[in-house]
Parts: sequence; C-alpha cells; structure tokens
Amino acid sequence: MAEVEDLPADESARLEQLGSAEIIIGLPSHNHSSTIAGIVRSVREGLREFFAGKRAVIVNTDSGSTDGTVQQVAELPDEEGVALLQTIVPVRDPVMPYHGIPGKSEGLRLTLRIARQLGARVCIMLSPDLTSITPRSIHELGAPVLEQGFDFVVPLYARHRLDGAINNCILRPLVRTLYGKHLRQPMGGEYAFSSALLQPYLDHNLWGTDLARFGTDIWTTTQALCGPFKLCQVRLGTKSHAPSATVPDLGTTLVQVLGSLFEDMSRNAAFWQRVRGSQPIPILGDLVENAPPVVSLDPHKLVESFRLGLRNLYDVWSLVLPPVTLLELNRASTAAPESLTLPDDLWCRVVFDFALAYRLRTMNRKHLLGAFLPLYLGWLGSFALQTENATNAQSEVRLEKLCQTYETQKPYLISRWRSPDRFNP
Amino acid sequence: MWRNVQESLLASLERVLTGVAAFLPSLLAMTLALLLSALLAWMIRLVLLRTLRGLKFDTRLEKWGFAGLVGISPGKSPSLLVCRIVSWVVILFGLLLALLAVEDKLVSHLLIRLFQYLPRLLVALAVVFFGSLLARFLARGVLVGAVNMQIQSARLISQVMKWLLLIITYAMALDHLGIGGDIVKIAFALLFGGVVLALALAVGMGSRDLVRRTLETQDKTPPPQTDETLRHL
Repeated sequence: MAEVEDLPADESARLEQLGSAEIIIGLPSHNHSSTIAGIVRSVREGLREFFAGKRAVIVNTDSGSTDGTVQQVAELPDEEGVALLQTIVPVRDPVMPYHGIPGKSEGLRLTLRIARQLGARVCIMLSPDLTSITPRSIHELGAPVLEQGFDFVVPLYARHRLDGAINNCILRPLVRTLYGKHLRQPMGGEYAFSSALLQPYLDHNLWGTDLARFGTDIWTTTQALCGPFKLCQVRLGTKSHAPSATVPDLGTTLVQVLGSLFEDMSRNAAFWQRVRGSQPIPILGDLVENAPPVVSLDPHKLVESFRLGLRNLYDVWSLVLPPVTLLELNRASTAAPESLTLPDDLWCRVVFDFALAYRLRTMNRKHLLGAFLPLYLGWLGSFALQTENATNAQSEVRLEKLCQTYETQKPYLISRWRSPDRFNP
Repeated sequence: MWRNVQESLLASLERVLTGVAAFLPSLLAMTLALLLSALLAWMIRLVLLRTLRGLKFDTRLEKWGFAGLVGISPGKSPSLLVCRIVSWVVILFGLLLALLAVEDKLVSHLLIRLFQYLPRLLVALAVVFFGSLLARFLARGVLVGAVNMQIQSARLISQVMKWLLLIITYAMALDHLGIGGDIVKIAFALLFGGVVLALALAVGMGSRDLVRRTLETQDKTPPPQTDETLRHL
C-alpha cells in the first residue's frame, strides 16, 4: 500500500492512517530555524481560518539542517485537522553555494508522491525563508485551485523597480515570448497546483538532473505553460526574506538561474517554436499592497562593470555574438556613463544568442554564463539610469515595452535556433 | 695483348651492365614507391580535407580556443595545415620505403631509431595538445572570474596564467623528447624562479609603493549589490 517509500516507518504509518487529504502544503527546509516555526503557525492559522473542514497535511522535507530546524518543527504541538509530516530527504551531491533551498527538488518529489497517495486536490509549495507569509497568503494561493478551477497559481509580489532585475530583463520577457503567456514573476518561489499537474510532474524525465536541482521553480512553471492547464497570478503583497548566510554571489546565481532557464528552453524547443503571440494571465487577489522597500544602487558602477567586461571579454563575446551586435555594444559603451543605453532589441538578441550558445556548447557553459554577467550589469545600469525618476508604474510600462520587443525579435531566435550556422553578420 | 685489353674491357662492361641490371629493379621500385606515396598522399589529403570541412573543423578548433592556429595555417585554415602534415608524413614513409629498396642496412637502422623515438614523440605531442587545451581553458576561466570580480587587469592575469602553463607544457614536452638536455630544465627553473622572485621582490621591496597603488586601484568588490534589500531574482 505504501507508495511513498522514502518516508521513515513511523511517518509512513501516519500517512496510511490519514488516508486522504484535500490540501498539501510542501515546505522544504535547510537551516531555517529562524523562520520555520512561524511559517508553520501561519499555515495552520490560514487553513483554520479559510479552509475550515478541509483535511490538510503539512509536509516538511528537511535536507539535513544542523541548526535545530528539524527539532523546532518536531516540537510544534499537533492540531486537529492539520497533520504535520516531517522527513529528512537525502540530497545527492549538494552544491553550495546555491541560490535556492538545497534539497528542494527531492522535497518536491516526495511531496508530490504524498499528495498523490492522499488524493490531494491542491498542493501549495512554500519557501522556508520567507518572513512575509501570512494566513491570508495560504488562502490566496489555495483558493483559485479549490474554488475557481485553476491548475497553476503563481504569486505576484509588489517589488521596487530595481528589485528582481534578472526576472525583469530575462525571465519574464523570455518566458512570455517562448510560451505566449504574460507571467510577471515566473520564478516566484511559492506556487500552488491542482491534482491535474501531479502526474505530469511525477512522470517528467528530468528528476535527478541539474535542471531539477537548480531550476525547480522554472521547470514546474514551464511544464504548466506547455500543457492544457489554467494559470493565474495572485497578489501576495510585498515579499521579505530572512537574512541567510548561504546566499551566493550574483555571478553564481546568474549561472544557476540562466543555466536552468536555457536548459529548459532546449527541452521545450519543439513546443515554443510553434507558439505565436501572447495572452494575459488573470491576476487575482485583493491583498493591500504596501509600498515595496526602496532599493538603491549606483548605476555608474554598473556601467563601469559593463565597460570592464567589454574591454576584457570581447574575444569571448565574439564567439557568441555576431559582429553587428558587438559593434552596437561597442557603440553603446562609448556614451557618457550617465547616458548609457542598451536598446531593447540589442538586449533581446544578446539574450537569444547566449541561449543559443548554451545549447550549442560554444564554450564551457560555466564560462559562457559567467561572461554574461557584465552584460546583465550593463542592462541593469542602463535601466536604472532610464528610470531614475520614474515611479514603479512608469517602470512597469517600460518593462512591458521590453517584453513586446522580445516578442517581435522571436523570429530572430527561431531562425538562429533552427540554422545556427547560417551567415549572420 | 689487344685481345687481353678487349677481354678486360668486355669483362668490366659486363660487370657494369650486370650491376646496372641488378640495380634497375631497385631503382624502379624506388621510383614506384615515391610515385605511389605521392599519389596516396594526394588522395588522403583530398578525402581528409573534405571530411574536416564537413565536420567544420576550423570553426570547432576556434571555439575550443585554438584561434592562434588560424594565423599560422596556410590559407588561414587549420584543416589545410592538418592535411599538409598528414600528406607529408605519407610521402616521408614512401621515401623511407624507396630508400629501403636501394640500401636496406642504413635505412633499417634509421627506421629502428625512428620507431624507437616515435612513442616519445607521440607522448610529447599529446602533452603539448592537452597542455595547450588546459592553458586556454584555465585562462578563459580566470579571465571571466577576474572580470566578474571587477579586477582591472583581468586580461593580464589571464595571459600570465596561460603563458606560465604553456611554458611548463613545452618544457615538459622538450624534456620528454630529450632535446636540450638539462638546459631546458635549468632555463625553465631560472625563468619560473625568476618570475616568482621578481614578484616577491616587487611586493616586498622596490615596487612596494607601486604595488600598493596598483592594488588600491583594483576594485575587488563583487559586482555592485549596494543595497542589502536588493534581490536580483
């Protein structure tokens, strides 16, 4: 009977006793003792308040915490109607530093199996380092699936115009261009999905690969985008994280995120080459949006990083980018530091060419993605300068324009993807 | 007496003619070996060139970091260079065969020496090939890493790294071939030791101020993340 063989004997017995549940909350953890108990309390409160009468199970999959996270969860008192299962998931070949939660992939797989065994209708995955999760967040994520028939729910956080730049300049426009759906934050970290997605996720042939380990949030989203599933976005207000000692530097984050994104892009090439145009995805939720925390950065320093990259990495870039793109980058860098502008079409082609070089293994992939960092900093500097006096709403208009340019450049991507060796001056 | 002269002349003529008759097959074999090897070299060159072009060998080589080979190749094509090397090796073997047809003792001796030396040559070539690959790979990694650490002289560091590795590689290869004897080792030790000593002296003594100024101008802070609340993802 026991379908979930990775569970310890006592937890497995509890699972059999439970029999069924409508809601599963997946909570992976790794040294999150400062936040985990608070999240479990918020989840329980949310379930009690908004989903009273529905059987729910919180599944905490810990990947070897050494700071007492496991004990903290174990000491939480039991509560009627909300079971708490806890297990240690073995993480194979852990890579540190890592931009996400180590063992998240293994935790997700175990949660999916538990959800399938219990016949859950909705599965909500949460990040253990969030301090902004409220009981209301649980409702916002779960209700669209339980009450409105959506299959995949992604969060929409209120963020400062300069916050989440990788999302703004690469993830969001690229996912929209490839899959034809307007998702503003495709890699939100938290998400909910219906039972319709359980089996497709479990059947996916990428478990155990680097994509599964580093890109859990990416492939789960794109899998939903590739199928006949109903998607929606929910406003969850602002997002705040607990300070973490294991957050890697920007270069490592970029290598892991872009590597996963490009890998996933290669896997889904047959699908996205057929997609034309794009459609909006409904935005739900009426959470009052507090003003996102203001972030500041020095655009001149970013521009200088871009110029340093251009001076030193020109030979490396020339293996990836066609001459005309290099010429335009050169031209852009000659502008005064306070007026550097990377045109949208140029930026799109740069991203597309790097995706193609990743697929063709033009050079070592780590070197390739490392060489992308100065370009990203150049874009961020250019965007920061352009939107220096803009409000968040005006910046949003600017980002929408970037997304549209991505879409208009899609034929370039398809053409290069299909015939990478064709003459391209 | 005239008869004796005549007999002696005839005998020497007979010896010459016998010698020529004995040498003719060898000469013919030599000519044939040369012609056949030239023909074989031409055919191999033709097939190899087509194959390499089909495999986009030149482009691939450039991507693997051997862009420098393009400059020294005939017609800026490393494929042509490979074809020429292979065809000359075939012609060389043809020449050895041709010589063997004429003078077997000397050539056999030469061949034995050559085959004794061949494994060393192959190992040395492998050392150079993999050493160059490693040098270029590490140099690119260092370059990218140094740029991302905002080090102004990233290219210089990468080039120094590459050339140090290449010097070690070539020194190893020459040592393996037995060329230069101890001179290579001594020169390498002097060069390497000299570089390290110069750097140590530069840091410790004469260039102290210069090094300090250089280090001060290097902005080694990681890519700008000026605000704790800023998240790129």
